[in-house]
Amino acid sequence: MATTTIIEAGSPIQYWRKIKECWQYRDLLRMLSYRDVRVRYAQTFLGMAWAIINPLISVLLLYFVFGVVIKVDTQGVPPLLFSMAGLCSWNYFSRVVGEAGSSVIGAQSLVKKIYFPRLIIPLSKSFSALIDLVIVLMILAGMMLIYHIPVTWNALMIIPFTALTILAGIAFGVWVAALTIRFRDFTHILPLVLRIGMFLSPIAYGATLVPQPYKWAFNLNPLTGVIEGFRWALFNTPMDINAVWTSIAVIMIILVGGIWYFLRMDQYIADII
Amino acid sequence: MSDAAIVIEGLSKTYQRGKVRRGDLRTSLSSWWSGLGKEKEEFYALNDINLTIAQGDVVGIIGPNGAGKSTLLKLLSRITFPTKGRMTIHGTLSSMLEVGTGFHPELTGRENIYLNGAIIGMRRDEVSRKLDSIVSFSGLEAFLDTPVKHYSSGMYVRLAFSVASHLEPDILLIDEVLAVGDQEFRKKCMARLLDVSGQGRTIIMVSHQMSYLKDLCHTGVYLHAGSVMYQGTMDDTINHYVNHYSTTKRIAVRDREDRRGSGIVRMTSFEALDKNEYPVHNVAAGEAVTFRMQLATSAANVFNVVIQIEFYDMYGQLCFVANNSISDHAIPKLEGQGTISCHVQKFPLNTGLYFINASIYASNQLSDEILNLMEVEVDPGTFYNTGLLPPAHKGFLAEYSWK
Repeated sequence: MATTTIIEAGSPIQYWRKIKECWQYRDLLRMLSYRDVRVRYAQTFLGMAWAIINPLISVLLLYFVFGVVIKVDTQGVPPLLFSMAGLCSWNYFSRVVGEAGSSVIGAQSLVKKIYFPRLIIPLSKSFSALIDLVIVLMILAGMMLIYHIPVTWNALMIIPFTALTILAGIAFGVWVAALTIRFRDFTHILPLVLRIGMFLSPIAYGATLVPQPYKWAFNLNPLTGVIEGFRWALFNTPMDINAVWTSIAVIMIILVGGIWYFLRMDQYIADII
Repeated sequence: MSDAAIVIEGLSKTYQRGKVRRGDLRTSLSSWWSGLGKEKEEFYALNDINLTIAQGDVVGIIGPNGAGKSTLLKLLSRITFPTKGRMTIHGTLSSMLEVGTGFHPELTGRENIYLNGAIIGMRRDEVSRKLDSIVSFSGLEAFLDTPVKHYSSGMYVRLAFSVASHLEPDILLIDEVLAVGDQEFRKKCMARLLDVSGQGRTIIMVSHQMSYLKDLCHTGVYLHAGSVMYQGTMDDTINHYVNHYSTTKRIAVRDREDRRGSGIVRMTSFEALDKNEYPVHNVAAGEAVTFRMQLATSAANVFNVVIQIEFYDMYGQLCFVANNSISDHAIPKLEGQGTISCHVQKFPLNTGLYFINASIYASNQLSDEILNLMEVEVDPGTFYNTGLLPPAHKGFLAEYSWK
């Protein structure tokens, strides 16, 4: 017969095989993401408009606090645009991580009844949030037109930085999903950490404002390099290349570690949940 | 037929009793602190199972609650992982989902077919190819683009079964899912699934409804307390189970000491039987059940024996009383021993757990009373033709019609 599966207690975890299995189940990944997007805006009065209203309110708030009240130095970029560019990555990242945390627990009726690669569940959150990322990027593009910001070839560099944002979302999302299964405490820890993260990421202020002694710690935040890189690509603001390399390294380590930890947990999920 | 579809060797699955492997940071830290070497209380949901299931066979797994039937299916479907042993599975394997699992009410019928198909492991193009067939099978053509939340429960069930019936794995696992749903439609689904079994598909099912398994399965496996007690033809397996089960139960009633009454007439056995006279602890709502009991008297003869069986729900609420002197079967005289049966044509209790108390009166005097004589678990069933029931423990079931 075509396929023979051997399941043996105590056999080593076949990481590579499990990752390949996720690829085989890509239609499920697509359907779960599609479901999330459909359901998120179904039955709401304004529907998809919420995907525009939400980031707009956030950016106006940031603009008011950092641009109007504190008047942070935005390196010559209009403060509203400066914050908006910073918010792109953060908005996506916090949505993915926030939703991935409880995703496996939320899908427990499925997890307890049928087998599929469980990694698909947190992964689907990183796909369903893409639509919001695209909308925010479109708002940003619109604002750049209004402000007459010249678009250079350098703007194409937002592509790799967007890719890094997505990888960061997946990396942290997978970790948080696995940890929440094991320790429900993370449902309380996570919103706290995300709130801290929002202030410790250079969204409405530039990383240049961070005093030198703290810089190395600030750079360990994987979004520091990504957000700074984003603004560098669009507005040619100064960028610390070391911060970018640190971000890439941190994201990769966390991504590989997260997938490893999740797959190690995989076989116990239905028993623990 | 001789090729094995599944070979199971020395399979065990243990769970930690009382303690679940989850929780909060504190218990995790403290259990780590208090030492890893400590003995943990474990129990075997499955204990050293060896089984070979032939390709193309239709296998029914029976056994009392907690025998490990569902654990076995969960291990085969890879939902959980074994503690010991190994399983070799030849071919693709999929399980039939409980109705509604993996459906989303906001999505349309069509979208849900794709979603459900993806969950049970169908590729997108496979669903597209089968879409027409699934839709016409369900008979829901007109509602395909309506969100499922506007469906009636009956329509919901039809859609779910239609998708599930189009699964084409080499091995299919069915865990009690066919108990609900419109009876006619259920037969149609089963016919479709079994039809393909002629072409080499292996089907393994678990059900409490033995008469149902008897009709469908060739081979049976009897599990008891995590071990395989018997494997053979379905009929032999059922007989084995019935004998084993009823001998243990008969002794139990005879030896009960927590009884009241003069003891002139005593109940020596009590059992619930399904329509094929197999002893059961689970009854499906609306199914025919017979409660058979044996009575013995120490006196030469006793006049006017009255037997009363009371059904209580888990909150101690009396649900209904069966009394032979109220209905139609008075026992004017009993000599030595006797067997009496109470036949309930359509069991009128809703899903849930119920307790039976019995009392016997002889010559208007309490002779024997046993409280909590037996527990009956009521499973979903087709009391109403739709296969639908009110929420569990919400009242009893009455026959009525709407005009």
